[in-house]
Amino acid sequence: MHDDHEEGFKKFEAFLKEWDRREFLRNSGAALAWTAFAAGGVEFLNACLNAGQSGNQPPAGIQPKKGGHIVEGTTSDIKGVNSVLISDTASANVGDMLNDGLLTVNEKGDLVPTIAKEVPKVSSDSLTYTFKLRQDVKWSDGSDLTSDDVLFTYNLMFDPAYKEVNSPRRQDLETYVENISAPDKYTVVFKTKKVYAPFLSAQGQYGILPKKVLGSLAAKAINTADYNSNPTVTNGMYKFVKWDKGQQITLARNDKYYRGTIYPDNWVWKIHQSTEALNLLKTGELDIATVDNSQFDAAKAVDTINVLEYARLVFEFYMYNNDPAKAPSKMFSDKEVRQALLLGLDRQSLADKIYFKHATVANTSMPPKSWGYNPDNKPTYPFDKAKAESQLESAGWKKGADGIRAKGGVRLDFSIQTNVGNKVRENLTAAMADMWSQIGVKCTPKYVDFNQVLVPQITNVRTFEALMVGFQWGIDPDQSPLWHSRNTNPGGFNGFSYKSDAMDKILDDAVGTLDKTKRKDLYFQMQKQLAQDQPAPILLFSNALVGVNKRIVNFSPSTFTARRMFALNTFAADQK
Amino acid sequence: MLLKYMIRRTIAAIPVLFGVTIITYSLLAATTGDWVPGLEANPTLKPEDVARIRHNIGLDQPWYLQYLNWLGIPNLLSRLHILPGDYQTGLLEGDFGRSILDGSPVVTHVLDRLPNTLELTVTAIGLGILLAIPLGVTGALRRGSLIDHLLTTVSVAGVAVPPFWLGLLVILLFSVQFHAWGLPWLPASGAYSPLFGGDFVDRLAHLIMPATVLAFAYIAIWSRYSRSSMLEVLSQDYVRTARAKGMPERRVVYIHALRNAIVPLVTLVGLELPALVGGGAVVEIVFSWPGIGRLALERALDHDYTTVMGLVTFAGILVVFGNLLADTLYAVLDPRIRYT
Repeated sequence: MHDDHEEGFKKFEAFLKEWDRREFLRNSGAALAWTAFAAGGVEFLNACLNAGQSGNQPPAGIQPKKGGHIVEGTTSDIKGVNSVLISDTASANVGDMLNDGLLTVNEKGDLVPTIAKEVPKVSSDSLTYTFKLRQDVKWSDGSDLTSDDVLFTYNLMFDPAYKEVNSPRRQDLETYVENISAPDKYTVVFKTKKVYAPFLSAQGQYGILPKKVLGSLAAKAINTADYNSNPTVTNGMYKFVKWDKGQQITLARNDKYYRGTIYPDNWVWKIHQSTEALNLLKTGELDIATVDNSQFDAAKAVDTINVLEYARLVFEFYMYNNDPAKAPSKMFSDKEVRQALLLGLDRQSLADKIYFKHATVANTSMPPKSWGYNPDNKPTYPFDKAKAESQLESAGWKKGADGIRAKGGVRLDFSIQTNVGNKVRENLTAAMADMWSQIGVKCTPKYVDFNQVLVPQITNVRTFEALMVGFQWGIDPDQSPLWHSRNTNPGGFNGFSYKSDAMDKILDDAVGTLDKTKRKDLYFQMQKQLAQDQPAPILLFSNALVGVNKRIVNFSPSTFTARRMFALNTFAADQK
Repeated sequence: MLLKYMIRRTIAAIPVLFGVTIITYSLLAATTGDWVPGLEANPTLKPEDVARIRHNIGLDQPWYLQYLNWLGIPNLLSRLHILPGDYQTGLLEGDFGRSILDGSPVVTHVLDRLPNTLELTVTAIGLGILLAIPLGVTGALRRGSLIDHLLTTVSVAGVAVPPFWLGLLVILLFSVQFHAWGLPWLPASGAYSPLFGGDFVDRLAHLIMPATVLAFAYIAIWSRYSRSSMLEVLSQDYVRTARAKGMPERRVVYIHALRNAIVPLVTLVGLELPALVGGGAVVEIVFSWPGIGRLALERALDHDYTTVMGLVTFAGILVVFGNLLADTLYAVLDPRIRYT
């Protein structure tokens, strides 16, 4: 299967990593460790973004000074910090502070240069990207970072000689890239095979690795290199000090950093139990930690803590199994039914009660912060029980003696699977089943293991009737992973079997041009069609909540901002 | 005699350990899920990448071949020129392998965390023994008194209260509330502080709450056992004889009675030896303790076969030898027990 229209790892970051089973064991009840909370409409989201941009602003008179340390919480230990191998959020966060990429993303969602001198202009045929590198970037041992290092890093994921490197990004590069070359010491040229709009945002942010350290290793040895757990030579904001497995990762300021002064002496990542986040923020054992939405008010009440809230490019959705070869399609093949079921859900009440108001009802599939978002997308599906019932009625689904609707001997009776231990999803599905029972639809929530059952159900097994999960997007509005028919193939995320030639064309055209106006128009078309078809209704967009000790200044995560931007100027006001 | 017995027990342990590894491996293989590299952080992960990485790691082979590989049998055969090709070293050559998740040797995972786990469990078991025996003896000597009833109540609570709940409560009180009240407070997570920690006092401050919570259940159970065992011994003829001889009561209780009364306790403590490694998992999780129990749980859920297998084998060795140690201690404590 080729799935060549998606963004890479750095964009999407986490496939609901925060909601997966492991987190839940750790969360034991307080799901949504990292994620999301509420909001209500565009104004509120703007307020959130502003809050996120300003972050922890310095009180008047406080000037940044070198010194002190910052302890940030992580609920998972890292697996390693080699940017080519990283495949989990905790490791990616630490890796981002150790090695910079060519580009990064600012608070507006725009690409900005880091190691590159500027965001490269594409050639007139829209195929070739020429990166000019800054000449003042040094490795922590004092040597120059050059195009050799950049070429080497990308070759680990691209050169056939490195196939044995266990990088989960090789297929992406092989699909899009014709060749990569370094014509001089500070120039790197990527020639792509076809026009692909998300190319720079998807492939431009991998941390650059030192060729002098890893270049002598055979492909297989890269997977187990000492560098992965003890990187001796780095180029990023911080240098690596040590990794106490299961306890903490300690970084130290890089005094030779090329993008300005880094202030704290140390940045420490402390691994903690997510339910303890608020307690540890209170005692000052953690300076920065994601707090659960249920603890938002309690965190706000603590006078030593600021709570940042911002919209995420995350949605929570459920899918109907509509594969014509499978039984559930007898219930779900008619879009009148799919729409009616969505109409029967009081999503505002779900946002209020389950997300403690830290989530927004979704009126389209595009996250409201995205430049591809259409605020006027129609139709929307506000809660309307009477309309839901009449629509089911006119579609031929009549209530039987047991109160359950049926048509042609098929009862509207299905299970909805979601991952066990995710309290938010467990509560959502239970509440939805209750709401549907009011309109003569029987739904039984079924809680299954995330990695063992839920993911294989989406990508391969596909025997579910309905299924709920979440998805996190990158800064590019491309949504091919879910809606393109190509991804109905085994391994793809279109496990609900949505196949539409019109949709495929919209998605392909939208990534096949670099004209933003055209792309925006196409994504409006995409949203319009999805609003009609409702193959997998989007329920809610959720916010992130981060508790930050007031002694920490200029820590400003937001919807788009990459860690390499929002942690750049952070400092400890008390230099402790 | 004893030495011969110990050697025989050691040899008998080998098939037991193989049984443990093969059952664990087949159970891991029987779970429906599998390790999908990179899935959690990358919704755009391509099936081709998954297939390539799984092949690199050897996950595309049937489980019994993976198991043989893990043992290192193909490597041994190729060294003996029976099998062509290049294979990884395995358990038979003392190599616990590398984690399929992060590529680092399983042994380093174990060794990094073992000291932390032992610090916690040895303290807890030590606290348990130190407190349980005097409490049990006191209860036995003052049977029916107020203090006996009090100890009984505490014991029942100790068994009934789950450690994770107790852990959360003590964190709320001694960490969060004490901090809020401006009192000296105990840190609630980890084995030492970032940067400044790691000295004895810092480690002790971090150890107090988790060790006490873990010890609580031990104290509860063991004090009950030592109480009833003590009661039984105190009614024995030789105790009456000792008293009749005019021996001081202290000597009767602490020399004659106690030594016999704690024999059953040795069995109980011996049974807890495997808990030295894994028994503190729940407490480790609540207190974010960087120990082996938490590692085992996390890696099992991650389908990190090699790490789980390494930990299981390691724990298996400890269980076998923990039992052997307990049996040997019997002989030392009770000369009537003899092994052949």
